[in-house]
Amino acid sequence: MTRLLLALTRLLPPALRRAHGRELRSFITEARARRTMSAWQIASDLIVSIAREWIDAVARRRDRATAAGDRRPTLDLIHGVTRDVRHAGRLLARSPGFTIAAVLTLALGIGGNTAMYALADATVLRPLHVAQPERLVAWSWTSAYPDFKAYAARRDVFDGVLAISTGGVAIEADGASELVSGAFVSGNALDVLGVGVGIGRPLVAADDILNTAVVGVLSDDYWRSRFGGDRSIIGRVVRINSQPVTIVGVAEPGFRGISVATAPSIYVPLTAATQLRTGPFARPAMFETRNMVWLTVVGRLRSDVTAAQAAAAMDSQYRSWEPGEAGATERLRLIPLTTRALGGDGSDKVQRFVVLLVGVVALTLLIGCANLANLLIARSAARRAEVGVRLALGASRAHIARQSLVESFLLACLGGTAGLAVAAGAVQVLGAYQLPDGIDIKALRLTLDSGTFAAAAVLTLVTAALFGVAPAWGASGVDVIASLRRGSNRHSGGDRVRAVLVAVQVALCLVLLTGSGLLLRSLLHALDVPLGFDARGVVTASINPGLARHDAGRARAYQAEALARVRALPAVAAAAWATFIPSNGQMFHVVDIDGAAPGSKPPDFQVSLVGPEYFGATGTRLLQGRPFTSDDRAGAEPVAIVSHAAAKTHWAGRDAVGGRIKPGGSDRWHTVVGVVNDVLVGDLGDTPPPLVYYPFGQPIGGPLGPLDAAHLLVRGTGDAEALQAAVARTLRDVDAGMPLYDIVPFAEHVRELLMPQRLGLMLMTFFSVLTLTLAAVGIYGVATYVAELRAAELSIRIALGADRAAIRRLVLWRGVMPAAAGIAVGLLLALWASQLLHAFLYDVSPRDPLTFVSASVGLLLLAVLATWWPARRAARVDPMAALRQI
Amino acid sequence: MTPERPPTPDRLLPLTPAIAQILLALADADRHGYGIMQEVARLTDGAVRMGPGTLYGTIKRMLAARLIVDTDDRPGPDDDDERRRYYRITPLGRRVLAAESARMAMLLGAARAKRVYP
Repeated sequence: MTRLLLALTRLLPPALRRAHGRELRSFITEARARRTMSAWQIASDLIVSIAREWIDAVARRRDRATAAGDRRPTLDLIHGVTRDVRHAGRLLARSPGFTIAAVLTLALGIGGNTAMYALADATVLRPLHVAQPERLVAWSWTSAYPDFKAYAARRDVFDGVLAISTGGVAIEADGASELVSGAFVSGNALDVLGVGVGIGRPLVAADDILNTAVVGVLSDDYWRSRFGGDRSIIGRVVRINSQPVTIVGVAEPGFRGISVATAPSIYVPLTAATQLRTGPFARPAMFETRNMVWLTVVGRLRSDVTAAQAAAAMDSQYRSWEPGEAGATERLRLIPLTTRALGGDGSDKVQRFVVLLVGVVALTLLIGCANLANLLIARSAARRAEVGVRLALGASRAHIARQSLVESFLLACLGGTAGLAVAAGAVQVLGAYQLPDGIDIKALRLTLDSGTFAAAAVLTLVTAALFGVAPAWGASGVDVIASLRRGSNRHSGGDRVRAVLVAVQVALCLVLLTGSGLLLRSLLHALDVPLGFDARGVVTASINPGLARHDAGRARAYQAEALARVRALPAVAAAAWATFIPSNGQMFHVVDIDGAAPGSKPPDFQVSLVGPEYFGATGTRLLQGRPFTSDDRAGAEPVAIVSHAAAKTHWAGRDAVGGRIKPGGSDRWHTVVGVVNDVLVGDLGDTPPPLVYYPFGQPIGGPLGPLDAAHLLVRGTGDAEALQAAVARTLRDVDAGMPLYDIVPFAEHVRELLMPQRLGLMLMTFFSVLTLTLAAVGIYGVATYVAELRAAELSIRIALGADRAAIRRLVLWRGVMPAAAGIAVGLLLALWASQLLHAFLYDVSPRDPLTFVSASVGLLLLAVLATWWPARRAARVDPMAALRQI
Repeated sequence: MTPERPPTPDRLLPLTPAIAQILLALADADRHGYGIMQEVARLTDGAVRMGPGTLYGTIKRMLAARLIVDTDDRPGPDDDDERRRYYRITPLGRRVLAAESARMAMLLGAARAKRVYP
């Protein structure tokens, strides 16, 4: 906010800024820092002052110039423009309907574009807040700790190599606990990134040693939001996952981590994982074994090494450890961090999505401009007589054109100002949505700062130029003599310009319409995708016993007690614990398959531990064999159930039931007792991965122990909201100290899958309706104009006995023709533009004929409807009345 | 070039509220911009908070009219900031403030006589 205020001061006249600019700025900073004045007080004072000081400055110059007998053209221009602004203001005030419609159109266009600029700025435009981000590269796969150490030793390639592992942590301070994103980083991480601290000290290599007291560095955002920017935080001890951590520093403002997808609130040394985490990610062994792959590695290239050279060097280093894998796995790539920051492999998708959104709102603004130009031409046609008189009285054509331009600029400025409010609202609305890859828009902290302010200002000027030039041109071309003759509004080419503008509008409108049509159809298809489960009426709840340092016994007792009590609730059909919620989160695990070809690499399966009623609770169908029962517990014969995809891939031609598999790292074979249908795991459209289910009562080791996150799925038969409340109450009653989160309808998880499509559809629908309205207004305007312009001619024809139906057809044709031409051009444009949508369409071709045909026919119908009324009026005209006007 | 004659106090009356407040704030001590705003707020029990635009726009005009001047004297080293400029009321400023006060006093006297104001 303060930045916005400081930007505002730049609008003050230069003389005042030269004399007092610095003081002014420090005044604002101080007043904001000490909260002596509200931002609103300062802003309103500045806006009033800007107007007053400019009037004062111009008046003073004029006085001085008049005194000196100076008549410089620039001064004349200033006077002239001031007069024009007042004149334009009066004109606009005289037709409030037009003004409001125009300002609203512009406000939506400029505001929408400003908000999109903010979004684009936060994702694809703004470089990461690190030193020289262009020299930072990320490994395309995650690495084990010893591998990271070996990479880090390659000083011939890198100036520095860091490792990072992020995850949720519970921070407890001042008696309140909160789940936030935390980053475990190698001690050199902040140094390699070139990120300093605002206060305190950064993490250093000496902090990253096993079994030392844990220290942490907070992010600036978190320090301000949670601790109110209290500087005494340095040296304080907070609890992370119930373990004491001393805060030694706060990272410099603006640093939000190295990924757009997550902004960690706290940075702690890698080795602290052994003390803060639980389960397999807490074992000191993970700093020695090459089998645990858990680190994102980022390197800073030496200035004489290219990314490609570095990638080749690191790839061959990796191959030297895994001679058996030569050619078996994909080659290592080093991804520039600027791209990786957008969220891993999907970065391309994020980028395209943002471009798409920007395209949609930019199109809307263009359509709005075409429409306004149209309306302004109509206005200037109505003012033709006035302009003629002024020209006859000696006004220059340049002056008339200038006046028309000033009117456009005034409108644009009003629209731009209102647009800032629209942008602020739009940013709020966007906050509820996600970009592809689950990037919460809210977490990007979109702000309207001086950058967006400047973007809005530039947009306003460009807009004014776009819609102001044609009317200005037209107004200056008035034929003096003809316009002075009463009522003889002869054709002057104005209707041709307007017809072209309508065609442009219709063409762009068709692009938007087909886009939203394609997205709508793909969303409908997506909602139809066989998910492999039925989310309706199911409530999920998640626990994470490890965060509270509960022991395994307490966790197991909780799970058993909670299940029993929830099961006893009325209207509960099925309930089960699981380590995985379909569509939400993935956990892959190596399995050995009995009878697999010797020497072959054991496959990765998506894995989940599930309770006996799990398949009933999710609605996943059992295709073969039996489900788990309560007898499948520890000590009983180990069993497993596999998915259809797993059975098809790994037991091709054999019966999967009766086969045996062994979880990686275990020495016990599990017998496959059933096959279930596939379920959606990641994105829509992904092929279902092979899945293996083990009984919840038969832990397999690894990161799926009793202390790790588990989810309770409850299928109800009645009201879902009541069920949600009842489940929440029951679970809290069992043990209030259990970290419990996300008690939500299952459908909520599924909804998130489609977030980007929904956002795109919401924006496209909104703007399609807006542009359709604008197009209809434009077409109607042209038809009316044609009818009025030719009223005399049409009257003569009628008087001479012309068929009224023929007259109607004539006007209809003149109105519909530009729309038809627009549709033809628009179809070509839309065919090209829909390629951009390709990545976001599901099961719909970007050239889907149904969408294209229905959008075109719809628009054509709209054009006929919009022209019908003026055509009817023209055909019903009373020839005598019209002829008397000549 | 003939030097501009300093204006007589009467020609500047009545003062705008902003000028009057700033002169009053500087009557007993030199202050910087933020200090003036604080003093005005104190004198008016917080009712008047001068925004930065009004304050410096008015200061610029007052400097031109020589009601106040920049001063090089710095107060104590504590609470000092290099970016700050201190302003001091001129003898002319003092006379103008006195004249304005007299005008207001006259107004107040008349208002009391007619029982408009207690």
